[in-house]
Amino acid sequence: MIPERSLDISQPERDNLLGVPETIRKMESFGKEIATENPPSRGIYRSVRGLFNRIFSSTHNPLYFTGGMIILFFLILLLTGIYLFLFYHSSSPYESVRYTVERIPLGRWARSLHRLSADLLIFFVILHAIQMGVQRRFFSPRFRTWFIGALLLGMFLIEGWTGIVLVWDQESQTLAFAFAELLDLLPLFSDKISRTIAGGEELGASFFFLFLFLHLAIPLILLFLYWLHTLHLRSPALFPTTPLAIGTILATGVIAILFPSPLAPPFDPFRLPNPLRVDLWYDFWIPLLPLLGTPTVWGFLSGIFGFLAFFPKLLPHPRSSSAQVNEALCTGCTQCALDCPFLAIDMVTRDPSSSERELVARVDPDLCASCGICAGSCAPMAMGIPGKTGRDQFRWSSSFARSRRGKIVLFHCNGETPSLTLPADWEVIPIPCAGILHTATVHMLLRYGARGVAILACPERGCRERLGSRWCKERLFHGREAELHPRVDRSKILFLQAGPGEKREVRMALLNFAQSLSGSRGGIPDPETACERDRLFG
Amino acid sequence: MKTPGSQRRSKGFPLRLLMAVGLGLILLRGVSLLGELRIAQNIPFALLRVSFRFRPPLLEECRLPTPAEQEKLPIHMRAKEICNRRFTPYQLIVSIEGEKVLSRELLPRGVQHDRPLGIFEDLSLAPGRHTIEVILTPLGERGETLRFQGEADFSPGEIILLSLTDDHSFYLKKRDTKPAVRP
Repeated sequence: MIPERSLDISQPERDNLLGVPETIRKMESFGKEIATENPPSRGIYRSVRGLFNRIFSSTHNPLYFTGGMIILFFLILLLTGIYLFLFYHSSSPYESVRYTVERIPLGRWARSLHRLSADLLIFFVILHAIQMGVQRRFFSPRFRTWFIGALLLGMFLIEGWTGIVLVWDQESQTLAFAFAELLDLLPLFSDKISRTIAGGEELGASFFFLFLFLHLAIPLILLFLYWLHTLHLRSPALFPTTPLAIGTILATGVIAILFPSPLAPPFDPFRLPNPLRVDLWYDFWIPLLPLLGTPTVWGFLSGIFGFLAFFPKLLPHPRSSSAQVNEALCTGCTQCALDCPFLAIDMVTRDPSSSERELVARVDPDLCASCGICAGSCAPMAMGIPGKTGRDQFRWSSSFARSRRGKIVLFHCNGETPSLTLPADWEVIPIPCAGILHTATVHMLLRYGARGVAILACPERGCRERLGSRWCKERLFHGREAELHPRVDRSKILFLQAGPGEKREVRMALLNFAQSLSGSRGGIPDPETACERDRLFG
Repeated sequence: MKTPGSQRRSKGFPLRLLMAVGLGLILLRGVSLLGELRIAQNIPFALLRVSFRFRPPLLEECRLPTPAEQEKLPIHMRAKEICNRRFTPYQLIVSIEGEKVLSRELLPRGVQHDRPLGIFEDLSLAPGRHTIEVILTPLGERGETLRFQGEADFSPGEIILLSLTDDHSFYLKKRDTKPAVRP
């Protein structure tokens, strides 16, 4: 029986640091740097993700695909919107919507699906912002992406408002009048907008045509902003996983059938709307109007948007140094440029005066997020964050493995992964991201005495540095540069991706792995490992 | 992608799927409910909505441009006369049962004060029958004083419009009165 000791692997015990060369101390401190960014909100959100992981598994957890879910709902909105547009008349807006709902096949369902998707889109935009905020994925150079995300939220709200007004029911009445009151505070119009809307005069078709035009044109602006939003991101997540996407579409369709979106009575300029109908995802500020007054609500809305857009600037920024290239070692293979999640690496001509176009990597410090993933992608170990390059890891690994002969080394990504209690023959090394790990480090550890190497990485889309988990897996098992040497016995390597709430499964997999290494009970190797071993050596 | 979760899927998969579907449906319904919120209001008042645009007589002051002024302008912009046009400001007074409830100086709108006068104002009234008196008086030498006196029944939550026709006559308009109620 192996004696167990409690190891909080997000905070390694002090004796782990003793006798360890400077490099690992730097690595651990780098890991701690992120672990200390642990506000209460992160704990709450982590618990929620844990609950969802237990139910959906970290592979299909919608909280890891908030960006992809937004795109999914945007597409549903686009399709249902095109269908509804076919029957909309700007000369008789309410009657045409009522006709669509009551007479047109699937009209009621399409409208309900349109409304529900619009609400869900805002819901997931909020979740997306929370996830980015909790994981601190908004500090420079990612601030630009965050800021454009805030603009996108604003445009989504404006798009929703134009859509609500198009129906011209009592909900439209409340929104249009409230908005007109807000606009009347601005010294822009010679006549009051409120008077135009509620002054008793008939609104012409041109008014609704303008809103229809806006409702159709704003998605083009949204697409442009989305392009800007993802401009400096490698492989942005366009969609959730197929089961999650199909499940979401079916569930949304079922809810739209079971609970069709009600059509309120038509706009009535001679009666105060009662009950007040509001869509809280878009009109959250309307119930505040009678309480606070129009100017205060204007201030409130501007304040919320300004606070959201510039929130990262209000926090202290734990900036690390950006990645550096040792040009003497760089072979110009371009892999680091392909792997960089933030497109911060360019391949430039080494000597512009030379006729030979020999390339060398160059890091743009304004775009570098200091994730260190390039360290793991560089076969000649020519780049990375100073002190954490592949070369630094390589130097550390041989001496470390000699002093810990016979142990199993667990590299523990210090982001989303669960904390565990492990037997004493495990050596836990926290790392900021699995992507930073160079495959030569794994090779050296096994060569100089480690019994096995396990890597516990974040779920692929929960990775704080976006692609670290994915690249690490591909380098170990799929031959991605800098790939693990083919001579290395893959059965001594375990790669796991897990999030909070999957503690028991992770522990089981790690213990099975340990048993498979000792051969005492013929433990079960990770299927991924076994599959890859068969492919490589079978 | 393989995770420890997926390794154990075969055992608890149906239960987990059911839980996922259930949680998903509950979440979606929760989101949709927040999108269909109805806030019932107790509205113990009615509104008199004073809303009109008014084009009073135009005040025009013209003079001949000086040669120096003409010199500064390109040929196509040289006018025979330079005119300053503006509308006369008016004073609006609305009284209910003889008691003044609104007194407002209506100024011409626009940066150059050459746009018609306008007002959009809601006055809260207790439900019941009310006598409404309106006086619109010019604040300059030109223009005529417009007067109106009428009665209307106000029910809770109802909005009655007080407006002005193109030929400068006030009227009260309710939803069910066609055409407008005239004094």
